[in-house]
Amino acid sequence: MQKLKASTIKKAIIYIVLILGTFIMLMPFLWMILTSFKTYKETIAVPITWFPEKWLLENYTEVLMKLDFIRYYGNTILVTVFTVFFMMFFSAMGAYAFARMNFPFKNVIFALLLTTFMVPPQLTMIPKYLIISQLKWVDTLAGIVVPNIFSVYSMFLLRQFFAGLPRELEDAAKIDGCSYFRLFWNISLPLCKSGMVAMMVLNVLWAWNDLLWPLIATSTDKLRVLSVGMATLQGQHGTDYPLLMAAGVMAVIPMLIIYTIGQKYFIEGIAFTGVKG
Amino acid sequence: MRKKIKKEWLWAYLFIAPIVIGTLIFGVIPIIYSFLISLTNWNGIGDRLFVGIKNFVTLLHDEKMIHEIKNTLAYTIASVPLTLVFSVVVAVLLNQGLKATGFFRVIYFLPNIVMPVAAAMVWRFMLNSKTGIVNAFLSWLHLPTPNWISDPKFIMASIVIVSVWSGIGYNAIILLAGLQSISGEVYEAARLDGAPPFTTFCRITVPLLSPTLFFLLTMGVMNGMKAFDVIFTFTQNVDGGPLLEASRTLVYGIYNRAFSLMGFGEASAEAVILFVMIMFVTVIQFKLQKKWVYYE
Repeated sequence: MQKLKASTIKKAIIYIVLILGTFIMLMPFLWMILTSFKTYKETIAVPITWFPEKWLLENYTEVLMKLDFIRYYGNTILVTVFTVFFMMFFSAMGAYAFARMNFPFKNVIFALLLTTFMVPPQLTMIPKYLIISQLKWVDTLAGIVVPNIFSVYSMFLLRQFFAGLPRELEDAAKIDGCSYFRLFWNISLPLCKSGMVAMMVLNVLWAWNDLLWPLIATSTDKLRVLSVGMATLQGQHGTDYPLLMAAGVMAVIPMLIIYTIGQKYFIEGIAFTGVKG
Repeated sequence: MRKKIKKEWLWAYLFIAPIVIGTLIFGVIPIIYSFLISLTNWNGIGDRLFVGIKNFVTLLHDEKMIHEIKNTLAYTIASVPLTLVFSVVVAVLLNQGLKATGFFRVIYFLPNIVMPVAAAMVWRFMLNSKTGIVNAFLSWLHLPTPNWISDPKFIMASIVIVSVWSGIGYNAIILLAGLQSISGEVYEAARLDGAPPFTTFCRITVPLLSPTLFFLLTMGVMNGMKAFDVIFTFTQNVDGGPLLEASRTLVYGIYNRAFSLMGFGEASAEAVILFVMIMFVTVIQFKLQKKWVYYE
């Protein structure tokens, strides 16, 4: 009886600590949403007011209409879709070859690829900018997308998935005269679906949130993405909090939706990067 | 047989061609190119003159650069251990077999999906000295209310707060996966031997978790030294002065020198310095690893 009581108290304490933490974790979300419906006056009032007197939509319409956020949205979606599609395709192809096929210099090439992954992208961003400006790719979709689609990291992680597949199926297909591309595309890839989806959601998140490269690769606002647009907005309207928060809510919502639907994959993917990375 | 092998080779090379060629163009060549540019006085348009190590000498005498190195190290030394400590606490609590574990895991990871620019924006508002909710709360508790984002002494602390907030979830999930892989039998044995919980934690949990901790520490330090997004957003409406001096980091400096001041030579030299620093710290960590990381 005494023991049961001790464990109940312990549980209660754990719950209290975790719930307090939950408040801290969620507070910025809550504050961002509440602020986005307020007037400027309400945000600078002392003492602070929690809820807007009237729930205004003006901040959202202003961000979308006057500040060109619709275009930033479109650009971000384009950049994310193209980046992740090609990245997954090329990474999976490479991963399959390194996990399943034999060819000369395999280990040397693999080791060389891994060395480049050790180098921080900040070391290479200036030469990368010079390359895309040589190619006249500054302010083009190609300039933002192409330098980022060759992900040795994703290939390395996917290779673990392919290496874990049973060989029997492939061997049977090989005897039937299946081509190597079909072995990869029709047999191995579908078996790696959960790993592919887990890597994909993470890459979508990273592509969507990336700031530094899109900032460098664009000089006008033609192909400006949300992250760059928001940083610029912060520079121009630094204290117009309702406006900034409305922009913030809109930039975060797509990832929130994807996270809500696919949180299992996010958590799987994250845990996987930790175990094997 | 021979033909078949050759066919396999051909297909394999075809499969790896995109990533190999792409990595060559956007990975290997830029690395070499970076080192070369760092030895020139190039500003993006004019002639490239070889100047030897002049850029490095200039940088190490530049007060801004000294600030950048100091701030980068301060940010890393503060944010990485803090994030790890909180993450271990969260992971251990989540590993107690509560019914709501799944729910809490989803909540604690949530900040990780927020665009860093947006996170910086909302925290900048919450940390506002007069109208921010953080100081409202602190004054309600009768605690000191610093000027978080307008006082050079506190701006780095503010940046660290944002980073810890967004980093806990990622670290806690990986730690939780590590904790769950520790078998219950070990704990059962400790319990039977009458080991108090704290001893169990220090003698069993930490050693068995040390490979995961090492991974998170190494990655955390690498990422910490590359910090940019939050700092860039925080300093968007700061025109130089002590506030910028107290928050600018190496990557901020590289970006600023290359793309605002068009000094590609100096910026590349700074990138090389950052690279060497990261390598140095990582090598040290791998050396120290033998002292505390326990592999089964």
